[in-house]
Amino acid sequence: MPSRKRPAALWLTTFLLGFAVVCGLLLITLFTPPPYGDLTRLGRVSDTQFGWRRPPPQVPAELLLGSPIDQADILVIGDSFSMTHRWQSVLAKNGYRVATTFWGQYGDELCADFADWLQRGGFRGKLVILESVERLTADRVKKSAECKATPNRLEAKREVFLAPLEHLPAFQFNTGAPLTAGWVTYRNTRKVMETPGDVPTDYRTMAREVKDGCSYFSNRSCGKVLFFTEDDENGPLTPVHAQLMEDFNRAHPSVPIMWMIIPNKTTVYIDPANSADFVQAFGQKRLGPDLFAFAQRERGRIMDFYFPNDTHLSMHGQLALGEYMLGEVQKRVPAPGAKTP
Amino acid sequence: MLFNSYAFIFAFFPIVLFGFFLVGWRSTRAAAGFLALASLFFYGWWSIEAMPLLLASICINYWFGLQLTPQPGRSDAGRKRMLVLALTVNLVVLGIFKYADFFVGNVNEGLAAAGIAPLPMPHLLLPIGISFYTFTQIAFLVDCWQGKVRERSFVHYVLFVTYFPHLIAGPVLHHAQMMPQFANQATYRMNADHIAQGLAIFSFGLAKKLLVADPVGQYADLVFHGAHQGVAPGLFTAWFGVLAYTLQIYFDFSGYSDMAIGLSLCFGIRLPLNFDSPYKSTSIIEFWRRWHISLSTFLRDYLYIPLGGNRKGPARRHINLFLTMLLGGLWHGAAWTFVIWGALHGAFLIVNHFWNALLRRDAKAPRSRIGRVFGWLLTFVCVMVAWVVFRAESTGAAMRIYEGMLGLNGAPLTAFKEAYETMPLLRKNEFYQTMIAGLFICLALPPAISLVRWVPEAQALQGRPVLSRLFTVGMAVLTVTLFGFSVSKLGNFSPFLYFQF
Repeated sequence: MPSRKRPAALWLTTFLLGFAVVCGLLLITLFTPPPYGDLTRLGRVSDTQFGWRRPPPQVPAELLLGSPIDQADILVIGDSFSMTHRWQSVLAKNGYRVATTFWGQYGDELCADFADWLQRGGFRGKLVILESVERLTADRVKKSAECKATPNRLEAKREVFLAPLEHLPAFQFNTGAPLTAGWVTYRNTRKVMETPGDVPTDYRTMAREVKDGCSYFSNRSCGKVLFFTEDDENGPLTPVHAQLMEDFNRAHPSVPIMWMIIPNKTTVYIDPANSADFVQAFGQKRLGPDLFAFAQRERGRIMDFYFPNDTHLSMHGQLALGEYMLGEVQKRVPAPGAKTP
Repeated sequence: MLFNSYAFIFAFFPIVLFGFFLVGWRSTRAAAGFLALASLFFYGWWSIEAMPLLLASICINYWFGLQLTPQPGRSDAGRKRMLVLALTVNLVVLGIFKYADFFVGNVNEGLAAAGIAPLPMPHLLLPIGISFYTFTQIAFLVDCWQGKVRERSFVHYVLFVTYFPHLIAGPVLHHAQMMPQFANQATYRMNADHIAQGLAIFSFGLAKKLLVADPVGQYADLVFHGAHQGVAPGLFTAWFGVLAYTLQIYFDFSGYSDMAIGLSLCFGIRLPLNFDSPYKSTSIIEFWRRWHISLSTFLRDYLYIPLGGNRKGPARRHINLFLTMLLGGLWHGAAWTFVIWGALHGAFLIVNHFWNALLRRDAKAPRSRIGRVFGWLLTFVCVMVAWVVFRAESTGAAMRIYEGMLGLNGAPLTAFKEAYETMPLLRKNEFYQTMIAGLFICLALPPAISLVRWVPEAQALQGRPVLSRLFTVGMAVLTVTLFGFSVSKLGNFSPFLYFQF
């Protein structure tokens, strides 16, 4: 019997050493706060260093409830920048009834039957806003120019599709992450902090130095901010894309359309000249508001205009965007009468 | 609490294991009580609402057991009446909680056809593990009535029913297998061999679940859920989807059983083997000797044999077989799809017995290699075909997949190209790699229980100490690495939410 005990002790000792390593990894992960930004989650970088810290503005819930399509003055066909209903809430506050639906519901294409499709969907309002982030616009306008019938029926939910955080998140144990998440987050964060210049992290995410970053962002390591590499990979928009938008408008003369192209975070903070030719053509064709110039003005005026840990506008940025869009909308559709919250 | 959760692996199990031997060092009876309480805590973590029913079931069945045991002054007729009452109580409770919605739903369809207002649906919450603990106790009651058991220790009885490794999903335990182990003093003393073997079997079971069953299951879910939503799968998508489910259910269920067996072995208690490489079977008869063995044994001993078994001629034997499989199907869930699954296997078994009786005069004679390969292929395909209706969310969805398997929805050369909304989030290459690995494991490797031959030391290397020690360390490193990889899958990597749009 004693000779049988030794192999078991050896086996258990080896196993328990490995188990201790696993426990160590688990503890690191448990005490690594769950990420609250898309880029910190994808890039597996610490929100302690790269998460926003400026409390978000509060918006009354009734202003966030969208209008049914058949009662809407304005139909927004947007993407993730419209999913929180924050910028639309400024229009709602001023009496506009806004319905919001998303490109993704229709395969990222609006086709030759667009006017009929809107009518079949019940929209009888005065303005259609086509919101699209710069990096995904080329694909959308190209697909839209080629397709005949818009997939799926026009539908819009009244509730917000994505509810943003209302407060800075308090500490909580990270129980939903993979075992190695804490260690990887620690390692990536340390690499970003210790390496000068731009540092790629995980999954299409890059930490980049932003000149005067601390005047723009509230995160602790404000000299560096996270960006989505797809901003660069997808290339700039060109006058050809502006022409496709104009062609789309001309193909549907009965529909009042306003294009709303939101610049990439990289364009706003790193390379303002990206898509410059497109912006010029877009302005000349009077397709919609120049949000590229708007963003250049507001980035210095609003701390966390874009989130430091996300590709999106912050809620502060969203409300500023809403105010700007209100002015543009009022030029096309008279205000039905302002509401007070 | 799931076996594959941080709370179980890093808190509950180490605490209970340590506490069990610590208490057992002073008092074996207290250790059994401690394990029973820990098991009730484990169950309560799952569902505190279902706890009163479990406790009531244990108390009343223990009392029934005492009353059923032959004793001077107790007539056989009286005990038989008591048995009928006890079985009725158990089956009625099971019927109410598990089958009431199914029954009322079917009655309502009939009423609707006759233009009569439907009955309200009960919508009772199904208490988790009710099928397992009810069947476990029915076997106990029958054995008490037959005079095979004479249980006096309430603590051991509570532990027998609630023992956490088997409580939620089996194996279905037999009283005679467990009680002697609870009564054995050696069980309560720490045994390093048992702990090493138990941890190894648990780790391999965990890996089966997290590294194979879950990844391939994504594809099974995709195809079956898609079929339920109206997506008609093409030829290859249908076959790959069904193969994915065939692997998922085996690796999931046998992984769970391995984890249960491993955990239990750490406590020094052996649970019966539940899966013996069933996909290696070369006939359906053999498949049912290797698949969910504890349930098959239960159905054989407490249903097939009491129905008459094979004692009343071939025709009655086939009827008994078919009925047993039909009820076995219904045991899995309250839906016609499970009944059809049971009927399919009943039919397969009858055909298999006919084949053996009519064409293979000497059924025990070894078959040729080609015969074995053909038998394996036919068995595997039959099992896959039956899994379709087992997994499908409706008979309509099952038919859509059968049509796909027959090529009636077209046969594009690429799989998973149908209009599945979640497809971009999945990785096809990983699926094919996992599928090949899964097939290799279930067709070429021995079951996880065989690890006892190599842990803590390889039996074949006992005469070579250096090699043996190296092997011991290597095996422990392999096991803990597999454990680490598996645990790393416990959390979820969230894909970019916006990519869906």
